[in-house]
Amino acid sequence: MANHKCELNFLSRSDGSALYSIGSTIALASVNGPGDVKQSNRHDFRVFLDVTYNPCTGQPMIRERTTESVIRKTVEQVVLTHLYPRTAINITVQEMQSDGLALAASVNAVCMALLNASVQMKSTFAGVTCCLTPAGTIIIDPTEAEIKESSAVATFVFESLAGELIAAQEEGHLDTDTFTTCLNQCQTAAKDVFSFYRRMIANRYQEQG
Amino acid sequence: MKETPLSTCERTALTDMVECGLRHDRRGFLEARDTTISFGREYGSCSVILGETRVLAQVTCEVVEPRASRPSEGKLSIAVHLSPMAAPHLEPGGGGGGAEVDALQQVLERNIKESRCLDLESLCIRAEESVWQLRVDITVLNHDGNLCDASNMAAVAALRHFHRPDVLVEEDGRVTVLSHATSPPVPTFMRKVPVCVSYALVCPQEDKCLVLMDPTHVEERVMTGKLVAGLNPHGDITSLVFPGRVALKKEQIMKCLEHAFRRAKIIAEMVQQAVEDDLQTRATEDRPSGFRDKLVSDEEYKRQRFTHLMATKVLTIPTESTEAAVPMEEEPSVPKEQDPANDSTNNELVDDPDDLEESRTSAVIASVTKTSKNKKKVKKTKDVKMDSDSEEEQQHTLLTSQDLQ
Repeated sequence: MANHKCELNFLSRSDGSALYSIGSTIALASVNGPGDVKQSNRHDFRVFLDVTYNPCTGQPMIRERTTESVIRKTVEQVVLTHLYPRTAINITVQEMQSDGLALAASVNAVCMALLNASVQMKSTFAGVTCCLTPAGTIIIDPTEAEIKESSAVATFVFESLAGELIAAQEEGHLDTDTFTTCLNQCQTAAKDVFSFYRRMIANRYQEQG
Repeated sequence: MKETPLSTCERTALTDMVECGLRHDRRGFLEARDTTISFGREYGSCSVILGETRVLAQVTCEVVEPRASRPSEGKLSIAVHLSPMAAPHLEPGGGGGGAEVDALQQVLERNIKESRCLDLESLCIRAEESVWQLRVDITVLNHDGNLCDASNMAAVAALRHFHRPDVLVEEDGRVTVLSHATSPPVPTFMRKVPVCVSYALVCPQEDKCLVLMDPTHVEERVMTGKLVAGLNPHGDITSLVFPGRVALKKEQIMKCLEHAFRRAKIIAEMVQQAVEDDLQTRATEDRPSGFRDKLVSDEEYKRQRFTHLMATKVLTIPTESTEAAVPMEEEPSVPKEQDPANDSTNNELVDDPDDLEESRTSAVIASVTKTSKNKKKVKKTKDVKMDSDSEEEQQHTLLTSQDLQ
């Protein structure tokens, strides 16, 4: 597994923010809210989640919209949305540097930023990317070069309570057996990510006393 | 989300502090914040940190058809993005910071594009058929004031750092872009280093105007006007924006510009040095790590700055002896009559080893009271012991604040 690194409270003007890097991929997430919301977006019984994803180069296109929707659907399942009625939570993700793992890094960055912003959640969540080489081996946390040569790439997001799958995105062809193998391997890798979260948060709060 | 309004109490505190020669982050009036320039893994990806203001610039290129009016010139476009990440009140999609984005974009275009510091003709591949288009995307990550300086610096550093892929022009006129692996990339050629220097003008009274360099976000909210100068160390002024409701005299603007040129020299050198250093280390590295381990969080920055201030004794934790120190500080005992430059100026209060935080606050209050009693009276309440570093800074302050009376 590639080296994970995270810095909390990265931006002084956001309510919560985190810089998360997996290998050479770096994503920066900022969370603002719960705060006031436009009349048209207001929900009476739950929070309005607004996710914006900016790629490191150029304008956001269809690919970025897909990433946004994956993140939004993930967050919607985990955040206790009914606790913040008639408010909005703004999540902005900026891809700082890309090396194939942009989605996984952004999902993890968002999770850390939500924790940093003290938004109440059922559990934490972690994204893991794997790719299948033409030879049939599965690589966890591949680099961009490895993804280019692979036959399929899949990203799975798990929640921390039971380690269950909450979101998945896949590109390329995977048959049912390989898909299950990929899923199981990623699920094991996610446990490492959760223990990383725990270590990091513990360090941070022990440090501050 | 709406922007939280600045309370009257915060506003008056800030202006009163400035009137007494203090800034809320303990900088001198003409002291800039710490600047860090770091580069990403790709060519032309650069992050500039100015105190707590963070800007990310990214240069990309593509082959396009040139303009019919200028068939042998490449194109350059600059786009600024402000998202809720920069500040919560900005709308996603650039709706909220519309005016700010436009103003910023205009300043950057004047400084970088219209100053013609980038040789556009070198971006030509085949006249009238294909040229390179460079696009600079500037994303503001954290808005803590002075976006002009930070984004200008980021854009320039990114452009100087950028290398475009080499091209192969075949006989029938087809253009093939070669990948970085097959042929070495071509650096962009920039003749000059455009620099942008901003000053906030705070006018506590009608006839008085104080100049603060590199304003933070709160200072930008209390300022009456602003002076944004785009220039380069070769002595050219590329833009001069002067919004707000302040009437400055010609000499005052000239003094600001003189200072700006000195600052421009420092920034230009810093940018050039940073780019050169990164390109050198990049040549030796197999896979550049980019931003990894290079970016420091604002929290960490604050902690470092606090330690630094403690170490240099600008900031001290109040102790028992504080009470004793106060009456001494309140005494306006410093003789200033022999130095006309000091007369009724707002001196930057620097580095006083005996200075305790609480006494400083009381000194502020003391001089505020004094100001209201007698405006011409000397406001310097402290014996300023200068070290060699701050001496120059002090002189700058005197220079400008004297002229601005």
